[in-house]
Amino acid sequence: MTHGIPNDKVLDVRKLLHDVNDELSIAVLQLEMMLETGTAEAQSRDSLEESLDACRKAADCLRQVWIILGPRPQA
Amino acid sequence: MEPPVPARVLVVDDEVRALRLMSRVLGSSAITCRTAESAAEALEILRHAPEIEVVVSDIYMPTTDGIEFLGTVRREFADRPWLQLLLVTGQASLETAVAAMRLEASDYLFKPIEPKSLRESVQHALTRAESVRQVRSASTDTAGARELQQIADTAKALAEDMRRTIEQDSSSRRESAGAAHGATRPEDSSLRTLKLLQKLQEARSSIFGEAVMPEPAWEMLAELMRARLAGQHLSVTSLALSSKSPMTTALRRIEDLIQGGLAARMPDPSDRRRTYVELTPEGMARMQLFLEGFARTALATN
Repeated sequence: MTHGIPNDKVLDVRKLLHDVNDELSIAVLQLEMMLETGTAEAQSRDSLEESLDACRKAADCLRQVWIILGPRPQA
Repeated sequence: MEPPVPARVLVVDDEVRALRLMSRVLGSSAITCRTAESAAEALEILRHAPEIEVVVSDIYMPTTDGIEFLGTVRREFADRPWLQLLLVTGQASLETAVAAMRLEASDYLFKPIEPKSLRESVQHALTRAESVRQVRSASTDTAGARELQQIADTAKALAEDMRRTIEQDSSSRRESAGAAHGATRPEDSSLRTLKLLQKLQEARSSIFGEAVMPEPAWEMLAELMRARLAGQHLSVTSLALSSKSPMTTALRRIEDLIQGGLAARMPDPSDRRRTYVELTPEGMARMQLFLEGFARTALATN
């Protein structure tokens, strides 16, 4: 067991975490691009910024999870 | 209609949405790029597109290990040393950092990527690739080889000057220590050091060209010191010309030197219409301090 995760599931968990990060990355890029174009109204802009902030916080949490998990086991 | 500019950037990611977004981000800064969804596709593109200078690749791809792919790129395209590799990763780990160093990666981007950092990294990588290409073509074509030879000659002459200055300084210091008379004046030593510094500046300009701009205030301060030590007067115009900068910039910098208490305007006693600029006692003392410090450092490292 690694941090309560069965050993044969550790790689799957890591893969899922990567996927979550990839999805967050896409959301951040998309939101940043929408903000950059400057066409959004003030209210939409606030929502976009809040969403972006939420994504960044989620990414920070994910980084903490990576630190807890430690380096990838050697194959 | 102008022909399309060939893409110099290749972005590799198994996630199509990420590819599309990264292309849009780069496109908004007029950086056109090609995309590949797999390492195999990327290698195929690279084989037929020598104009690609930067490869941006995700490290974690389900079918390919990004590090392995970039290693293959380095091996297969060893004849393209200008190729810049940018790694994209979701997880900062020691193993990825070491791998990136081995691959001589030019940068390392963490997901979620910010558009600004992607643009900046790619732009820097393109500039680096361009410099490597220029150095390589300069060393192979004849005109470039001549230019390199000139640079080598300048560097050689400079090294010789430096050696001579240091030797003269050492012997004058020995003489000053051993005899009460006949020792070299400190002004002579300062003048030699100053000339050496000016030669260093000239060499810097000849090697780096306009990429490294002259520092007008320093150029003029050095010229004022040289004139003072040689017992010469400098008009505002000659001083401005020595700055190697546009006249308006030079005049502003002269004002800065005056405001800073390092230089002062002096009327020419023989012609009231003419004004000289010279170092103030404080400017002189500071330059003396700087030159002595420089000479000491040069002696210590010799």
